Amino acid sequence: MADYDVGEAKMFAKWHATRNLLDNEDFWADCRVLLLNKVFTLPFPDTEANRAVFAEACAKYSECIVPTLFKQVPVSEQELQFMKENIRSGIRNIVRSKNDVYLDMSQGCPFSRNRSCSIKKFCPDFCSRFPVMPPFVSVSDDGETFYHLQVLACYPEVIDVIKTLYKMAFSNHPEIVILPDLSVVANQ
Amino acid sequence: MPIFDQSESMMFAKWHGTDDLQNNEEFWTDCWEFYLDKTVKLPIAMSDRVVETISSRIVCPPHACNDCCTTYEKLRMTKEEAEVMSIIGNPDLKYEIKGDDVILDISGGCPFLKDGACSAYDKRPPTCRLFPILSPCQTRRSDMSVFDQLQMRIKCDTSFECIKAIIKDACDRFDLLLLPDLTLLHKDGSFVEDILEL
Ligand code: SF4
Ligand code: SF4
Repeated sequence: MADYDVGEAKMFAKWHATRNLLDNEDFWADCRVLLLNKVFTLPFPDTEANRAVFAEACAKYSECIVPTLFKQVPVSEQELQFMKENIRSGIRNIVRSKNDVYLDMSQGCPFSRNRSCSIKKFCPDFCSRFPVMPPFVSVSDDGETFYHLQVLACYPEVIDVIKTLYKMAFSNHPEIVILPDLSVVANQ
Repeated sequence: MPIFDQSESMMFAKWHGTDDLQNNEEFWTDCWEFYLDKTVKLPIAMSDRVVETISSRIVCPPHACNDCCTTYEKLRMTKEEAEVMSIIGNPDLKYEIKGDDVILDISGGCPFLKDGACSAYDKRPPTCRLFPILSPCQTRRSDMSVFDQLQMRIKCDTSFECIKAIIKDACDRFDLLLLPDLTLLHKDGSFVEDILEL
């Protein structure tokens, strides 16, 4: 038995009896409201092209909301080096714990100016990829590693992109069933 | 997103879009096939009365499934229960004493299991007597208080029929919605906590 959050439970209660959700526009309208701010692990690879679709859909939002959502932003040593070389004012919010390095956002981001990023060209990958999140890694039975695209639905446009991707991938596949929380299962 | 395991995904793929699952015998046949050996959380707060009512319906004979004897690593009991089974001081048994409890090592099978039957059947501890009722799961109510939620394992016909009866009865009496992974929800999407309080 899975654990549902409040929005997912509401979606299941309302849509459990509708088999074809993919083509139901009322369902997608509900997703834009009830599934907002959730992280979706999608059945697509974490590729540059797939990430770009989300970046494009969210481009109109110029404000950086990363510090309002995360208390830490992970950075690699390489990214940190690149940032240090390019940001003259220095980086004051570096925190190291065991093998991880991250930028502390608990007091907000020092690079945020009027809620926009002042270091856009040099900001960490985590920020530049947002709302795409670090990939979810799964290993198949035959040992193959798959990097799933993960995205945070912080804007309704993220849901719209998921809808477009699902329609492109699954419209002619009656064996694929979309569930009310946007999980995808296969009827074999 | 809730994480569905393989059997839950298959059940959703087949049964999503079907209303009134609790009254669909084909659905229950699939549950038996896909959910055998799974643990089900039931929307009931565990109490002595609940345990007594359920365990009186599920009486395992000595040559039963042996699941409690072979699945777990440790068997916890009180010192008194361990005395009755002559565990304390027995050099052939691996056990630990923790406060008032004795924890018998049953990894690789319980040492009391002989030829597929419990050799201490009449003296076996409550953990064995009550199986397939498992230790409760600590669940948070919407008011943030925590309660002991009943958990049962689908192990045999009797345990399955018992779980099915509890779910069907709850759906009928309180007009609940049953999902293909055996989750129960109120029809407005709110969570069902303890049906005995409804
Ligand atoms: S570095 Fe830039 S993009 Fe990243 S949190 Fe700070 S302001 Fe936002
Ligand atoms: S005491 Fe008996 S019933 Fe309990 S685990 Fe051991 S063999 Fe099984």
